Amino acid sequence: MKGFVNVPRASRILKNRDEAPDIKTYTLAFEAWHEVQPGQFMELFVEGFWEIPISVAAVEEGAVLLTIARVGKVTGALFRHREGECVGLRGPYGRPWPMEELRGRRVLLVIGGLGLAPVRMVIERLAGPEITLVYGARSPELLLYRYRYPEWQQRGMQVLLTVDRADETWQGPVGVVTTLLNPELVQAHEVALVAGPPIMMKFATKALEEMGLPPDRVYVTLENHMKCGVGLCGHCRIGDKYVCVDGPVFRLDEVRHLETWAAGEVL
Amino acid sequence: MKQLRWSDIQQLLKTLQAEGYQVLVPKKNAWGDWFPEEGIPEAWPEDFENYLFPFLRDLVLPSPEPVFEVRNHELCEAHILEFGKIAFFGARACDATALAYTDHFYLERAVRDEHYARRREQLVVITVACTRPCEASFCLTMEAGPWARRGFDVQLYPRRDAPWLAEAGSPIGERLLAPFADTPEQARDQWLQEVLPRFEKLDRSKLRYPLDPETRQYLADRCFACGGCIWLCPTCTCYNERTLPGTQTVVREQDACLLAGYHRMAKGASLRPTMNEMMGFRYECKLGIGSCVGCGRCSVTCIGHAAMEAYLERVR
Amino acid sequence: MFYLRVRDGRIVGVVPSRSHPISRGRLCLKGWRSYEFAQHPDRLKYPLIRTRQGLRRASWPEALDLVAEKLSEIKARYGPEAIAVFGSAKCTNEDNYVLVRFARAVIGTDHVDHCARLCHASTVAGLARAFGSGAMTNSIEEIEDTDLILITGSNTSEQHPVIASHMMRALRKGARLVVIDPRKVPMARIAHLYLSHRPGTDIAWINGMIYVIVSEGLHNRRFIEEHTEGFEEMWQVARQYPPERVERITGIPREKLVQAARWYATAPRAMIFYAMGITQHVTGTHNVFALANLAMVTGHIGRPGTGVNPLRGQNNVQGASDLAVVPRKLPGYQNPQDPEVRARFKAVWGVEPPAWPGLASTQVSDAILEGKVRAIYVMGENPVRSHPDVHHIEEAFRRLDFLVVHDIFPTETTEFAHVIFPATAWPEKNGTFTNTDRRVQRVRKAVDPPGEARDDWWIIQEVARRMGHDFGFTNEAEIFNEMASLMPIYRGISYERIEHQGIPWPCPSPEHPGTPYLHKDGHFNTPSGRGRFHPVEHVDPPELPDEEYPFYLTTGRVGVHWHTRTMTRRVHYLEREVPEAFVEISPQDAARLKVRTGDRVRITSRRGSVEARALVTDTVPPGVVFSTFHFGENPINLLTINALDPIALIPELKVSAVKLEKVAE
Repeated sequence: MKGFVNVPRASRILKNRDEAPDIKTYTLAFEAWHEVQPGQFMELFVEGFWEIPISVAAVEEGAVLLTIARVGKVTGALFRHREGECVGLRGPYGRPWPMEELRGRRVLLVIGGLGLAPVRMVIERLAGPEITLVYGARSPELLLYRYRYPEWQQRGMQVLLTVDRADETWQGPVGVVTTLLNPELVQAHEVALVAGPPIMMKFATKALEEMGLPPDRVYVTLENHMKCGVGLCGHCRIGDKYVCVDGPVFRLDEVRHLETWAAGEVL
Repeated sequence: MKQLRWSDIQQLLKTLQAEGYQVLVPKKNAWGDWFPEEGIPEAWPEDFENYLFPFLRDLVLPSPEPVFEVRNHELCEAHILEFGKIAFFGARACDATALAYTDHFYLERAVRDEHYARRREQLVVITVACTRPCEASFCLTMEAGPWARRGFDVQLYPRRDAPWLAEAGSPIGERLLAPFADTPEQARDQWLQEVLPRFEKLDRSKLRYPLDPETRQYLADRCFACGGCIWLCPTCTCYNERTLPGTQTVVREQDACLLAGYHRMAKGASLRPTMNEMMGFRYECKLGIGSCVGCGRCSVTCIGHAAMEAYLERVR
Repeated sequence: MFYLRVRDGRIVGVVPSRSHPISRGRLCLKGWRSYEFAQHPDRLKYPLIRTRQGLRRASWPEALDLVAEKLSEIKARYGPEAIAVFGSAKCTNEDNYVLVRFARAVIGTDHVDHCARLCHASTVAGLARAFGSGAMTNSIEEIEDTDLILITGSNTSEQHPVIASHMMRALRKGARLVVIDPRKVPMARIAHLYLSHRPGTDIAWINGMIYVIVSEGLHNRRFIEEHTEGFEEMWQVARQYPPERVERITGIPREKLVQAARWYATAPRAMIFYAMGITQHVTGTHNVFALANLAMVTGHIGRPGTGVNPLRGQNNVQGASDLAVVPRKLPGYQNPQDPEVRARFKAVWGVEPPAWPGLASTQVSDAILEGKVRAIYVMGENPVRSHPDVHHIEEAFRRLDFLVVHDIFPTETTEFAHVIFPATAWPEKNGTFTNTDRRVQRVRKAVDPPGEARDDWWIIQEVARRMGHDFGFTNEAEIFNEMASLMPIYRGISYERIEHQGIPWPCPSPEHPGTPYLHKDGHFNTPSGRGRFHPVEHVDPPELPDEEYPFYLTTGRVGVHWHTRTMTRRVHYLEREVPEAFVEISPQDAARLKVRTGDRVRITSRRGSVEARALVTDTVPPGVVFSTFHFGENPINLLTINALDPIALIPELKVSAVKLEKVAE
């Protein structure tokens, strides 16, 4: 990699789409959109603040799509930006999902909340009868990309949904995502991808192992705490791994032994 | 191996000056504190141990360092902080070793950091090997002193009543030393034989990560989270990025992993909410990844009793 | 002590001084980072004048003229006693001296105070009566060589980290550490003995220790006889505090109390350290008396490595106190009633200082509401947030005819100001600060101030000139020389002498080396030359938990923030450490209230209600909650009680009764 690895390029906001309360998908102009591999992330800069890592949910001609929740100062400032205004972008960074290994295999996606964003490119490419998506969110309105499910299902992918808290519109199961898992389902797949909040990943990976999928066939994506994206700033280090360059996608057996590989939500 | 009289050393520094280098040498101020200052010294300051602040690190990793600027709410223009050509004379072995570590980290490991590279290319490092240990140091154990194995252009071995020995550590060093008289390699062995007994060599295998849980808690209880060990560590490279308030300048500035805020994420959740976990994180870097050079600065500046000295006390 | 690193006119960092006898290359996080606030864009850069439309920028002459005119008018109409002046423990000795001269010579008021009223007024009152001098008796350098360190009511490692670093060195040399505090502060976690008492019961445990020491014959009879007075009267009270009774009052197990007493009494050298946990009570002065009693009973005073050491909070709170930024005193703790003293000041000032007793800052709100005080001149303080019972003080400040504030940032107090002057911050100042151990040391300007900000002393001198008094100072050294000439304890100090190293006062002559520890060989500065015992009884705090308000609320600070956060919230790493108000709750209480760390809780007292995030920790015992007053958005001082120590007029900030509720988000 050459040039100034720390300097973003200006990128115009082409579109922003409300996904859920406090969650939007931004379409941002990006020349090297075709270089993005599923599971990689971008560094997004908002004027007056700093950069944050955001995984790429999808790409289209000349742009990347980033799904972003308003959680902190930078995202708060971003949400005040309108279409046509600029942010800074650099990337793509990080180790992607092992697409070669996934192609043609029976893949189980165990996903919680915003974790659907980093696997969406995988789904868009591989959706078919060999793929099963098991997806949970806190409430029905927080299930992302519901407008994409019909097409995915049409291509033969099984979509199993659950929510922690139902509302009057919800007909499906209620409970955390692991309640949808059972040995039969798990063993019907060869590989699993897990993405979501740390606490959900802890439980999901444990359940997968117990139900018969060994850690060397489970991949996780760890998004927490990357800052620079290029392995320098140190914040994302766990053990001797730098999540931003050695990950964010890891095979479970690479990180499971490390402290805080997926620390729970503790203040 | 070469040998140089003091006048030769002055000549060498003058050559660098003629080539446009600013020559920085250790100078004691009126309060008794050491700072690098421009000039060519009349004699080597015998009472110089080392700078408390890692000025050599600061020349390649200044903090805060402007990295880019926003123009018209659009353009992100690279900003490079440069100090020009600098010859750092009197660097200590630990700091040169640390420089070799940061070179690897910033240039060869994951990416090549152009900001770092620009400054590094303009830096010439002349180490003066140490003849006595400084407070709380354990450089021999870490193979980072009293002489440097890497990270220098020229290394000098001071001798009493004899010309100093000199070796080159880079092509620049070779060139700088070319005019001077050769001396057999054994001269250095002799120097080592004389100097090394003054330095303690610990069993390196005792300095390792993970720490035993009791030691880790002992250190955690005695850390008062000032960050001093990090601000002064020649191999602490972690940084944080932000826009300086009231400007459009984005800087990276050194960050400290013993501060709770380092580990906290946007929503307020922390990956390492206790001092025990933060302490583990730091020692994992210093001993597990192995960046520690044994310079002893952390122990000098520690307001509690949580730095390497405390750790060594426990494992000794 | 440290050096500022400046690159292109901007401060980029600090380098600690390894040669300085106290800091020795060690700094706390604030020391490392706080320079950053000085270059924050929020700095006040121009004089501001309030109009009906709000604040507008003004020129210096315009603003100075207006202040001089208004103050003259109020003085002429209502008399000098209608004007109060607040100084600042953040400003230099020179700034404060000029302020004191302005207040007492130009305005002619004795309503002069600063926020030491809120921290160590009881120390000054208590130690002055007991020992004759209201300051740290010993120097920080001596700590390393003491044998026992007793810390009470001080979170030393967070609030005085550099002093804690000397304690840590002492521990490594074998000293014992005893911590007595309701909260299990970090030093308590590494103490050899930790005693947790109920908030507001300090006198009981101190009397209890004296009981144990005397009844076991461990007291220093010779020292008591030769160097003190009033022992018998004191003992008549202390003998009523056997460990069993102390345990009932304080909750300290009797065997632990006995152990602490024996260790303290039998240590060859023992030092007591305390801070606001002792002083911020209605019994603050009595608490200080009790500690002085304890030290004198054992003779642990007047030698290196002994003493009673109040840890003062601000960079120059010692200096501001020395300079008499307090009522009823003149610089150098001199008595304004003393004709000789008055004459000496008149010779320099041209007028006699007022002889009438002024009000403490904590009494000023009431005086405003009664119409007695009409104007306040504030230099670098934020009383509207730092004082207890926020509603009350805001109400008072709203009624002022005229309020002038110098500051470096807009604060809750400048919101009430009619004129705001932009002042310099410490990296822009020349002058002296007096450290907590009485060491007078230099501060030097490193960078230029922003905009049109000016030195505090210059601003005051300009106002004074417009009111007909020309002080004629052209630099800080001239100010220092004048004030030193008037203060026997500073007289021997000059800029030349402290160019490289500070000198601890008293330093009466240019040859005098300074005084690292006071009361050498038991010679006290009291009129009789003897240390004075004071009998003190335990009394309950003015408000105790009850059924409706079942928790003790005790307030304090965190290491990374400073007071009302006007500075530290503008330092990235400090603000990042503790970005919002929190309340510490014990795990037992948290379980009962079904509160977890991070939940929002409402804290309510009889006076008000604030919200904060819960922090569940065993630092506080069950029944006690702790919060800080740093967060102006969640002002904890809405809750605290407006009750004062009758001697020192310091408010009770450490004990009030509250209830807690979890707030749904």
